[in-house]
Amino acid sequence: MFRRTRIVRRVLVVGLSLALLAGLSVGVARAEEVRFGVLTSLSGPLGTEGKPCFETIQWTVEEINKFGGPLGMPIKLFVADTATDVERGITGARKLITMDRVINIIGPSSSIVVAIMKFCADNEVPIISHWSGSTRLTTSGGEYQFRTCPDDYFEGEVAARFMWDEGFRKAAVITLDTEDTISISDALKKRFAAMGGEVVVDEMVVGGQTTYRTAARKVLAKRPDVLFPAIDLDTLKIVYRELYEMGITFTVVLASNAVQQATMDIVGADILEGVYGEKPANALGSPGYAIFEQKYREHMEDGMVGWFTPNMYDAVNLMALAVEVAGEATGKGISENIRKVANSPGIKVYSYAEGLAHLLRGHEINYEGASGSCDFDEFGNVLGYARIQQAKGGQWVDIKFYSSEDLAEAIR
Amino acid sequence: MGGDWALFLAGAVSLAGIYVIYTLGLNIQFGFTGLANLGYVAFFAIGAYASVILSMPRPGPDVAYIVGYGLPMWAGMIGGSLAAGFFALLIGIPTLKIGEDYFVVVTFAFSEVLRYVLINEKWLTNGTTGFYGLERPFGKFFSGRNYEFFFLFLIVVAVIIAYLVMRKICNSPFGRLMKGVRENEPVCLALGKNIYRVKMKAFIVGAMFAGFAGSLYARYTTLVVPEMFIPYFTFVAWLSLMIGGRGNNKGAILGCFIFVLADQFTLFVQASAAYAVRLASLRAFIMGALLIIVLRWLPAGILKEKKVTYR
Amino acid sequence: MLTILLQHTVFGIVTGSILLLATIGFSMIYTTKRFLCISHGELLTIGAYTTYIFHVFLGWNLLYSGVIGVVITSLVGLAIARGLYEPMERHGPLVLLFTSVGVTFCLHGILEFIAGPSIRSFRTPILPSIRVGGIPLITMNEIVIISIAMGSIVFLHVVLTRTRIGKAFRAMASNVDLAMARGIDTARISMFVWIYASAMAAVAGILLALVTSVNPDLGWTQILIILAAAILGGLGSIYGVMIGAILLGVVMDVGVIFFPSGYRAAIAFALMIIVLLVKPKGIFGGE
Repeated sequence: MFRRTRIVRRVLVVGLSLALLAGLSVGVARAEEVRFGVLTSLSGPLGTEGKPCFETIQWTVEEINKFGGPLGMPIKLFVADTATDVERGITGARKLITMDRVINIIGPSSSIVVAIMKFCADNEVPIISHWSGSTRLTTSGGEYQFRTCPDDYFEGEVAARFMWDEGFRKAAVITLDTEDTISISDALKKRFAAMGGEVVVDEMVVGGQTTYRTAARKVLAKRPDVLFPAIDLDTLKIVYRELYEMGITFTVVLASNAVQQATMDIVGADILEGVYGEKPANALGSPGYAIFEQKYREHMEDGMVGWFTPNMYDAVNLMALAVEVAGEATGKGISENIRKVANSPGIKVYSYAEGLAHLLRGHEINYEGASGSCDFDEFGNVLGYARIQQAKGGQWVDIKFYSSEDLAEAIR
Repeated sequence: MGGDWALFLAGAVSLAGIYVIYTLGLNIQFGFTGLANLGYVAFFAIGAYASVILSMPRPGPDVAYIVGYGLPMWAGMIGGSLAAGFFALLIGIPTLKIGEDYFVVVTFAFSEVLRYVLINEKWLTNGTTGFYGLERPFGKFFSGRNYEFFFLFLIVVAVIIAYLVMRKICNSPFGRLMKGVRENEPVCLALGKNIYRVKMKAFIVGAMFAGFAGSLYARYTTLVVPEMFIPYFTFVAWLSLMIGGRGNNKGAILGCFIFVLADQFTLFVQASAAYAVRLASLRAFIMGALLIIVLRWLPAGILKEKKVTYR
Repeated sequence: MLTILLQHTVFGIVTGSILLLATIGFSMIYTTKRFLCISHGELLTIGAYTTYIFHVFLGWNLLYSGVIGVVITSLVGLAIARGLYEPMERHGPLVLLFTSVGVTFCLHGILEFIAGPSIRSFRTPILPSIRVGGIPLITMNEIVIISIAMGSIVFLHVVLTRTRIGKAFRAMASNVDLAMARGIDTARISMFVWIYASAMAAVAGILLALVTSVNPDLGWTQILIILAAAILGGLGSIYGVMIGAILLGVVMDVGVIFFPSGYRAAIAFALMIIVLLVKPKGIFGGE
């Protein structure tokens, strides 16, 4: 109840500042444009997930441009599709930086971030990724590389903790041989064992096989309390059906990769009933998220908030606010000032408009986003939230929420 | 505000140069000797990984891999091509004596198995995390923008050397022998030539070129991960070779430049969420169609193989 | 241990049965046309998608949709062969092989263009496995798959031994020139081969889609294992390929008892290479 009134108040404040700004922006001359580079997966393995994220950039920028854009200049987007492929990511980044002279790069996936980091730093172009959870970035970057999603390690930690808290002691793990699933499952295994649990089956599987019965059999034979499949939807479709046919005698906690609305249709809502899923949570219940969600519904057709779209929204807002603070539309300016808008100290702001309103009044700000508090550490990482969902009647229902404070001691 | 064409082209041409060396190797295997290697990317991958592992510092305690020899970068590159050659020898022993269809399938399968090994053998390859943040040759001596041009210079030098070496091999008596094997095995056999050895040599030399290209590619991308070495890469080399002209080294070079530059210019089409997937599938379609068209109406490629009569 | 071995063997037979259906067509093409038709995998995908359209979009019965899918796929297969492969036949098997690689890319592109990359699923009822002595061994769906595979073997055998076209096919498979000299209408047999092979591919694709999901990579992920099965059984030997496919399935699924699951596919390729070392023409090849 307390929370709700606070949100209402926030929304009011935002609304007022919006009105104020709308008046202000009319008079501002539009001399130039601010060139933002979008380098993200619109096709390839992450293409499906990339689409809502990209649409989120588009409407977020539209919203920002309604206020005249950072420094009164409208943002113009330059887009390159990486096809989730390293080489295309590199050539795309090179094209955006050399030919389009963008001042930042938004949205590449993990391997591409790693590949273009040096080139971007040399050219003073900051990268901000909304979905690269790779542990390769845990201790790198910070000057020209940021991310608005928590490390994959965090997801493994949350799943391990949930499993332990529910009283499970014997866990089985099936891992798909891709980078993100492996880092999630590695973190889970490490943490679950550290808590005192036992990992009784640890199977790595290859994607694109016609059957995973052998892995399923190994899991069943060890009679675990809980199974953690760190696999994507394509693989889960087969694995889960086969497990179900052979008789599931344990609880299942899915890794975030397969916790989507589509999972219900593809795997079947009836057989998924009661299954848990671990998922990055965004700042659920915070004013930042409430504002985001409202805008999301205005602009997007699909009902469920897309995977990593809040992170994308925050990334774009932070970039725009950093340009505003820097007073110049350059990559170097963003890199030097992004922490001034993202981290404390400063007045907590929950949207671009609110942040801009305070900046124009000469205040320091601390952006609290839809995905989390967006405070960058020395390596450009953020802490996040996570939640556990459960399949109930064809929907994913939130049942448990972990904030970064809850997990602070575990994250080094 | 115009674009920085020079810097953009430096990157694009460097990439094309690496593809040239890569495709030259396929040219000696297929263009000259007629070996249809459908798993050519495997040797590229071996070169990339081996060069990185050899020149990497000894690993610390908190990483998954346990090897790293700290050799200088150039030694790693030589080691990378040697490793690729060595694997070609291993693959060649069982497959070069039996029919070409078996060779096709085994090489194809080898490239897939290799990817599983790269993913699974963490102690050697660091799994799906791979190796990243790799140093680039002489990276210390140049600042950001200048370095791109220096790297281009290095690649150009490497391409020239590779081309000269390849020309030397192809114009030698051995070059004639390779073409002889391609055109008519029974005649070569009747002349008392050891066909198996000719094929093996061509296979190994080609693989070494791929390995060398791979070691350069690792420095271009500054990382190696298993997901980089997909069968698509084999297809790229084949398509470039077929377009440019098989059995002609200049053709291989031309083909690569056409392919890479055309591909780079697709970047100038503004991607949008609605069409990106369509565009990506259209790309696959166009590449496939191009291969079909070239094979059917331009079977020798743009630059035809020179007809040489030997006396 | 024995029950584990039994379970894995049964899994392997199921794997092998689908593989068998996918490989028969490929092998028929190879026996008469003498080239590795890489694009065969894409026909599996086409079969699955066409059936999906009729079954899920139009709401038709799965069986009818499947039949239509098979018919459409065989027509597509025939059209591709007529338009793209037959004009290239005089250039030899390697050019045909690369043409088929080109066709694979084209078909994959077209499919993804139309259908998009997202995975879809047939909504088939899921029933618990049949248990033998307390261990879950096999499901009803899998029994159906094995039956279809066995039925198709018997059917093909009857076609090849009892019908005129089947006998002509065998004659052409053993010696094309001789068959032509003896007045066998090779054009007609070619048509028979393309239609029959594509139809088999469609059947395999539909069954595969039923147990996995419908996605643009469905056939592409299978082509290499199809090649391995064909090599294992002996290229050019239809009956050898049948045994090769089942054997490959069993070895893969039994192999993962001893090796990590990550190497499941690699086991198949390793077996193929070992067999080539010992018997270069495959288990039943060169006879």
